[in-house]
Amino acid sequence: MDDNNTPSLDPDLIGAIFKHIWARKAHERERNGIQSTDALDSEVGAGTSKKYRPTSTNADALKLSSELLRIFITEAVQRAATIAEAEGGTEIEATHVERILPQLLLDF
Amino acid sequence: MTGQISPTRRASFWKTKRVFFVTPQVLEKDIQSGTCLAKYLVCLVIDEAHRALGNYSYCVAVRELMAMPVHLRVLALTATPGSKQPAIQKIIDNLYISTLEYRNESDPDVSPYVHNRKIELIEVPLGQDAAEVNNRLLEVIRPYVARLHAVGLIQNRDYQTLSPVDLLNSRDKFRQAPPPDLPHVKHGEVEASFAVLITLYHIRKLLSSHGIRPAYEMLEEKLRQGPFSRLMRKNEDIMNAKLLMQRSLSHGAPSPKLSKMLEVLVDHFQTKDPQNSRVIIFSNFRGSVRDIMNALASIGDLVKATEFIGQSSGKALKGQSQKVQQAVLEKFRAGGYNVIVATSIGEEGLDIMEVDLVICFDANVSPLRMIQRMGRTGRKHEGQVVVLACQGSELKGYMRKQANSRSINKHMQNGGMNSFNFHSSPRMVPHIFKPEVQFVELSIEQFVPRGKKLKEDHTVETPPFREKLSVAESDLIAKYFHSTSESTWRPSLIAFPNFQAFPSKVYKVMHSCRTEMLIDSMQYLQGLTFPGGNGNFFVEAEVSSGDCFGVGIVEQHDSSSKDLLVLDNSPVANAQLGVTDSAELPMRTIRTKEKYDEPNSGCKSPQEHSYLFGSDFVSVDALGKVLIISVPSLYFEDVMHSKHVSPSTKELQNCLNQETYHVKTPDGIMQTEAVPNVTTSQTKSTKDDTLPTPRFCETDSEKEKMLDGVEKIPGTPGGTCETPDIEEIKALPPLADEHCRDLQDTELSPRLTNLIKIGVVPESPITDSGILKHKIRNESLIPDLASPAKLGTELLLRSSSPVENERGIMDNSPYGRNVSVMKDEMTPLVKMNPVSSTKHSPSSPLAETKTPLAHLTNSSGSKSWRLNSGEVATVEHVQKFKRLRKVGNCGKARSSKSMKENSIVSVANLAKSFSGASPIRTKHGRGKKKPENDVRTFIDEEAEVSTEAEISAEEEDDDNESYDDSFIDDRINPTAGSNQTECGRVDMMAIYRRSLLSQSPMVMQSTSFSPDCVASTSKDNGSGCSSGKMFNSLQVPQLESINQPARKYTESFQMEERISSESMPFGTNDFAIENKSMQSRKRKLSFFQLETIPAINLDQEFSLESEVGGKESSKASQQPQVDKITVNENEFDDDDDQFYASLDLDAVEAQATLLLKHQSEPPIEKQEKIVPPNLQNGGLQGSPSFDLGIW
Repeated sequence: MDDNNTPSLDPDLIGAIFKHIWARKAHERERNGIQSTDALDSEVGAGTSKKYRPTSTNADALKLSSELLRIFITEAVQRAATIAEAEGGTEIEATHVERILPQLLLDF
Repeated sequence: MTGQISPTRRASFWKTKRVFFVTPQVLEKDIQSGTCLAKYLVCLVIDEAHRALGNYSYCVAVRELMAMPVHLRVLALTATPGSKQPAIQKIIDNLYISTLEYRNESDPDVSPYVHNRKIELIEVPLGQDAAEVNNRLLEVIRPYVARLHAVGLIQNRDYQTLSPVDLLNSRDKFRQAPPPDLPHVKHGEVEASFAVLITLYHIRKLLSSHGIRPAYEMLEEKLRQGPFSRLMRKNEDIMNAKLLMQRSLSHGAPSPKLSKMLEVLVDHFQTKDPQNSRVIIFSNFRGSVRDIMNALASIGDLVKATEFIGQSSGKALKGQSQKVQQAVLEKFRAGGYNVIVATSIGEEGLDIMEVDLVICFDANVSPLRMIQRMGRTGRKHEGQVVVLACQGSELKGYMRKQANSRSINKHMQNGGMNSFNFHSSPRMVPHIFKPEVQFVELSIEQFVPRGKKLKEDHTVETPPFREKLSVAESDLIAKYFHSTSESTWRPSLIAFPNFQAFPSKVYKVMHSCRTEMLIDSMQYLQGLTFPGGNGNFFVEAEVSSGDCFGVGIVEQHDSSSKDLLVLDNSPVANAQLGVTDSAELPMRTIRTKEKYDEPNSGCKSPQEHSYLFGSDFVSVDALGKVLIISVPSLYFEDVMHSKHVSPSTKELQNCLNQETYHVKTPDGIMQTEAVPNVTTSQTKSTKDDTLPTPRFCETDSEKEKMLDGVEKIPGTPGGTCETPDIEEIKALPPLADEHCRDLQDTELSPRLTNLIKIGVVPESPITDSGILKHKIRNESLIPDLASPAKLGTELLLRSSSPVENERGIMDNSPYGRNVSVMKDEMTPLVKMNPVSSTKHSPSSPLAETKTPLAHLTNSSGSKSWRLNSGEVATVEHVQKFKRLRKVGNCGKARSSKSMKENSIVSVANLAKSFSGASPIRTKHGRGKKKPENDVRTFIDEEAEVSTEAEISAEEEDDDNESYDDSFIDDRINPTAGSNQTECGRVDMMAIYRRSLLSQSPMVMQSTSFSPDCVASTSKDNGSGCSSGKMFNSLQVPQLESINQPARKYTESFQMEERISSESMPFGTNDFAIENKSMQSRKRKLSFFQLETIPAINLDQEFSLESEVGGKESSKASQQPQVDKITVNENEFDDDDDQFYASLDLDAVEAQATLLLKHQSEPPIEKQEKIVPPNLQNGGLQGSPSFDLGIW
């Protein structure tokens, strides 16, 4: 973020993605809520009527998240690239990512 | 659009769509906020227009629209405009209705869409108990009604027909206009009477329409609190009524209505399929809904009932949220339920599918609601409505309300022109257009429930970014992300477990501790104990030494030796001989530590280096044996690197480095060969018996010779015999990886113990108590090693103890012990009979040391491999010797010739050394990293030779540079630190060189001379030669351990010898001659070396001398091996002599070259010249050997 040379992810985009994921999660939660009350023969359903309020992020948190994601992505690409190069390929395939993924996830 | 859609989305809809289905609330809000483009609205259709009362959204929205200069039509539809004319008028006013069209089901344009609806009114008599209770309640009511009647607030009516609504109206009237004659004080009393009456009538109504239980619960609740309880608590009649209700409830309180309802239901489901038929039971009171549910539960499977009630949660019953309500309707549609027991919320506005039967549990409801209830059925086909009415007030009320609605209908006739006031509105369609009626059938092909529509929109919607992507990009996305979320590609975390056993390369983000844990655990799980062990070793080494030396094993040895050495250093300084031994250890420590402060150890350091190398080699051997698994090879490499690092500080180290390089290359070869070895281990063992045995014999013979020379112990045959056995045994273990691991582990510990022992040994030799120390050490080692190993060590100690009188012997013995320790390690690993081998005493240890080499060779399985290893070892020794010689020569020349030069040189050397040391360290660090990487690569590729060669080459370069510097430094240091020590070192170096030179000719004398030399500081050249020979011989077979002691001895001896006599050139000449004679052998060896080790070439470039020496030595070793192979054991002695001679020759040659170089450059050139031919020869001859190496 400090140096302007490195391209960074658009915080708005990241925010949109976050919201999309949260919305989907909330939907799933609601559906699960209905199903659970359905299972109870809809006798007790008052507890599930919580209003769904979307999660939100403030600007700084979004910026930070963007940077973290940027580092994560570059690291993943670079590591996968080394694997791909080691195999003599010029294209990063999914298998290359799978090879570095466990350690990558643990590193973050 | 509903309130669930976000306002922004609604706004976009308002802009882009033409027809809207909107909830009135949304319309109201959007008109107020302006997002609804109200100006463009043309037609507003209002359903359920009878709700347009007060400030309902309909009214607000229409008012807003009317306030704007908008021309629009409002079409309001309702089935139940109102029960009274004023109510209808209000709706007309609110919606600015200009025309009223009334249709009933008999009208021609409606009848085609209306199915026959049979309305059945069933009169149900009040139950006996209920009637009795009713009477009681009436008893209670009567006085209050009478009182109010007296006041004139209630009209003259039968108190039995009064309804709560009547009372409410009366009370309102009373509140608005209290009768003037009534005293103000009485107002409260009247109010209380009204309240009581209202409650009582309500209970009565419940009693008649819903049964006893709701009435009882109502009464109970009212009696519990409030003014009603204050007034009624003492009333006997009410208490009696309550008791009566209680009693009837305890009997089950059979309500005639409920039983009738069940009767109707059963009848209905007998005529219609219970799966497809739907029934709605309306009840106005939630309490009765529960009663109905309980009653329905008794019918059984025929009826699957559920309740359908509002959201508000009372004390007794919880309400249903909208979601639950929708779920109920969903299941009702799908057939999960076929009966809904509903309160008024089910009456209108709900999308309830076709219902066959509607049961109105209470009849006394407003005609509006009754019509709505009936509207639930008869939509698509015939339906039935059953109204259950209780005799009495309820029935009367029902009848009255029906009449009421009929009267309203009359108002509607003829468009209601007579009854209502309408609002005029201008014509919107221009007069020139005459609209015609067209019938267009709009059909909904498939009903999509609204709740799911939103979600499907998400998935079906094609994201806009798709349009921006190129075909290749979209293909790529389609490859991993299919349109259906189920088949989305998810990366697997477990796909490549092998890749998780070692750290992946990082770009900027380093591995976390969790990653390292993962790697460790993966290594453990995959059985890669070696890498893990190496890593551990690395860590330990780093922690302990702090040096960057990456090699775990070597580092450990170094660290352990360092400690011992540090302790030993002081004694070493005191006694040269003792010092030599101790010095070796200190030298190692110093080298590892890179402490230039202790220059004394400089001379010794080479020995130590050699020793270290020996140990390393041994370890390597062991590893090589174990290494059948590719991983160990990497470790070996690391070890080698570390070794190189340590030697970097000193010239000797340089030699060692070269040796190590050689070793590395052989290791690589070994690794490559290891795989076949494992498979053909047995076959190899057999082969080993034939081929290896000769080698072993050779080594043994050499060792034996050495031993014989020193102690004249006739254990050689036993040792030889044992060695093959050991080899075989060793060959077997490689088969099982686990065994190998165990062996490695044990080996590591023994090595450490060996180091410790070595360190201790130097001290012990100085004093006679060394034996005890050795024993102690042995004991300490024992736990680590197997018991047999202990015995062997003890035996060795014993054998050495007699020899202890002479320090030289002691030195030898310690070496032997070391060797034995090594053997012990090997033995426990192999589970051989170490005892027997150890019993043979010094010779056996030597044999044992030799055996590891042989094992290495065995592991290689091919003679070429063996030769390579032997060559490597010899080369290393030679190099060491050469270095020592060089040092000695330099030291001698400098010290003896001119101290000034020494000082100058020393200063320069020091500077160089420091500079060299730092780069070396850095290089070493790099080397370590590289080795690790290499190791990984090796593991991955299993082709380690090339990388190792590269590494070795790099290290060699570094080492060579550093060696030169270090040698100089060492020399300088001694001079600077203490002239005596320095001289001693220099002398030692010189002695070594001389001894080496002299040894070659004096091969025969070596045995007896060595002790003498050791004992007396001033030694004869011959003795020195012998010792040197011995050392050489020892070095050749044992490489490491033997070389070290030999060096030490030779150093000490040579120091004096060189100083005193100038026999060196002669020796060199002789050696040269011998070398010439041996060239053929050497050439062979060199070929092997060249082939096997590409790094050697680099080394040669850097230091031709060392390489030449190494080659020669290797050649010599190879030759002896060959000879041994050919020659029988009996002939070993001769062979040994020959070998010694060859070794000596090599050493002499190296020394000579060194001396020549030191003295004058031309000789160096000569040496170089000599070397190239050898190399060439080797290359020519080596073609076959290359194949082996390539393997």
